[in-house]
Amino acid sequence: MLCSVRAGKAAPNWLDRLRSNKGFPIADNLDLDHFLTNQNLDNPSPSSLPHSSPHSALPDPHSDSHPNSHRRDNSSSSNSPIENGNPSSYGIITGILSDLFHMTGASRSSKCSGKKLPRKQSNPKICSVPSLTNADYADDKNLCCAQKEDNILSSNSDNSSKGGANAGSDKAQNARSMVEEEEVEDEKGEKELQGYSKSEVTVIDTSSDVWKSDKLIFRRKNVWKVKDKKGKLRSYGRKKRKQCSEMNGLSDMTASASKKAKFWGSEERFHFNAPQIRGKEALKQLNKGYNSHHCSGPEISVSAPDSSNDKKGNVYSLSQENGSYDH
Amino acid sequence: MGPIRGSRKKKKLERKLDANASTASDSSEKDDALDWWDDFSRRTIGLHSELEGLDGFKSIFKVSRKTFDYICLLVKDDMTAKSSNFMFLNGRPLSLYDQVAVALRRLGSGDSLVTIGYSFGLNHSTVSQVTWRFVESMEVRGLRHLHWPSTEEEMAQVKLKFEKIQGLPNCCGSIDTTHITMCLPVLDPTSNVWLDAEKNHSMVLQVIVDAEMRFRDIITGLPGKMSDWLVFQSSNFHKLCEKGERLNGKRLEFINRSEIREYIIGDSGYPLLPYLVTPYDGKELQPSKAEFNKRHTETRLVVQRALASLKERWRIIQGVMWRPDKHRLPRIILVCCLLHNIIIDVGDEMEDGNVPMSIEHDADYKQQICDVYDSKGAYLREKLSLLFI
Repeated sequence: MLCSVRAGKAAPNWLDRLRSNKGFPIADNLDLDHFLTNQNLDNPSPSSLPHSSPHSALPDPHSDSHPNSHRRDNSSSSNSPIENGNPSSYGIITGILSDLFHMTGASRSSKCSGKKLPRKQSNPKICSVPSLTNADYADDKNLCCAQKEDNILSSNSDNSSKGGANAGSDKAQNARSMVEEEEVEDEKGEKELQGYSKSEVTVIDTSSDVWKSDKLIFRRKNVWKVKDKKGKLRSYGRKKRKQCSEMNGLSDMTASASKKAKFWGSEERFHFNAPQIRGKEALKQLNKGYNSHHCSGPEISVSAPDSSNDKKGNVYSLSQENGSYDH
Repeated sequence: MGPIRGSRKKKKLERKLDANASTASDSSEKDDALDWWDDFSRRTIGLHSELEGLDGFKSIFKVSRKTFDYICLLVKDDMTAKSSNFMFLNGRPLSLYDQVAVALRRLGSGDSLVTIGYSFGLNHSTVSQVTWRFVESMEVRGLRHLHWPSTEEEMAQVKLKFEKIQGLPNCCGSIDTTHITMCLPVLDPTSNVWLDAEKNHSMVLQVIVDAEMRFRDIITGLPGKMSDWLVFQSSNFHKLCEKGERLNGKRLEFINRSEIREYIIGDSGYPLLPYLVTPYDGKELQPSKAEFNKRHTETRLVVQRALASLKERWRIIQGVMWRPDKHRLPRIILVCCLLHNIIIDVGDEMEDGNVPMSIEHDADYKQQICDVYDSKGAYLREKLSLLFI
């Protein structure tokens, strides 16, 4: 109610309306200190604090849309009333704010969150109330509402964010990052490929059931990984995956994600470099590897020995006498 | 509801008419084909030097007339099914033969679209579109000409022919890799992955051939920066071998109860595996090993000749391609390989009697060395070398 009315037409006279709501005369040179000390000391109403909202733990899908305000908050978070040793004024102001915003209403919150918020506040200098900082304002939904009603208390969002950046910075960060949580989950499978350059290629392999397939090649120095494009991989840019009809018939596509992980796990099977493949241990590893049947996985990870043409002498000395032959 | 009176008679009559029409069209097609070449040789510009040779047709299209006709049959449905509105500059529509001729000339000569368009009286975009339509059709219709031996009899023939070369028993193929070079923008960071060890932008083509230089397995599309054995490990052939689903056929048994399994041979750029035999390295080898190396090298010439022949004949993949579409290039390479096999299957080479002798297919590339080997592979190689004491 309050939210929608104010958002609609109260912008020019927000201060007057605020004063009239609280029983103050609509005039300049209002003694704010007097108001703070006398008017509302008897009713701090901590229960109406934003943090008590049942929805305070809900992620804010719009929290990412106000990165500037968060950044500003961090810079000025030292103005917290708690830090300044003024908890009484903190309680008063939060009470006022809770009255103004009606933050306990679920329908209100959802209604507010559906509106696009202005990026900048209309009158940022008017509200110079440092005591508005509170960790509870880090609540994402409340943040949203506070920003929405910046025509009422122009710097509310700023100040509430200050608290978020200060005492509840973790919470605020988490809330913001929850929007990105899906991205993180999507990229979980790609974490091991971070630092690799990615290339998309079309490979024709006549030994495959489907001889033409799109593959992703990951390379970091001499380490190469070849994966089918259809796999669980998604592009880092989170572009919508293109469904390739040809890929649907790939035999490799039938491989489950766990199977893929298994093959990735068998990376040591191919993950050799020149120093590693010297000596008996390397031989054992190689022989073990080649006897393995895991090398048929859809992905191949290889550390390429440099294709230099200098033959490394006596790297492998194998003779019949040493019994290495497998009869 | 019964059939309409007289409908059967009508159908019979229609069938007869259709049959007559088809025979008439076949004969007219043959006539068209005969007339087409005379007409074509008059129409072309700038190809007179090639036309004046002993076999002008083959010098222009790189295939015999017989093979040309077979290719036309292969792609006929695709090239004529679509709304064919390709036109010469004079407004005449392109026939099936014209389209195949344009595509073969483009793949065979490697000339630019503009040059071929000028020779044939076409817009360069028409040359591009016709060529791509041909590639799309051939990669489907012609794939039957490129496959791993599917029956025991077929494999036995392959082994027999390999043994005839230098006596290597139970050998099923020879493997090698070549590079298709490209000109890519240097400043583009995505080009870096294609920059190979020789500082060229290239795409690799790995082939396994039989003793008649027929491609039996290929993999292409991977960057030239990858070494030969990385490409091999990326291939499904390797995967199948590791699973025991390929090169798992009849073993050759000797009197002393030793066995030689099926295998392929490759150069030092490949790992020594239980199914992939590479030569011994080093200079002062035992006589049996030196003899084995000699025979191994001689037998491997088939794959080198095959790749040299492929690049010599289909010059679109011989030179440096100017900023090609890297998703399309593998398909062009495949079609070149298919055409290579079709020539062998139809018997062009046998008729000419001039088997290509050049073995240079990657002149600017040094021999790669792979240090990886497997003990079973070493044992197999030892057994083979003992045969040549």
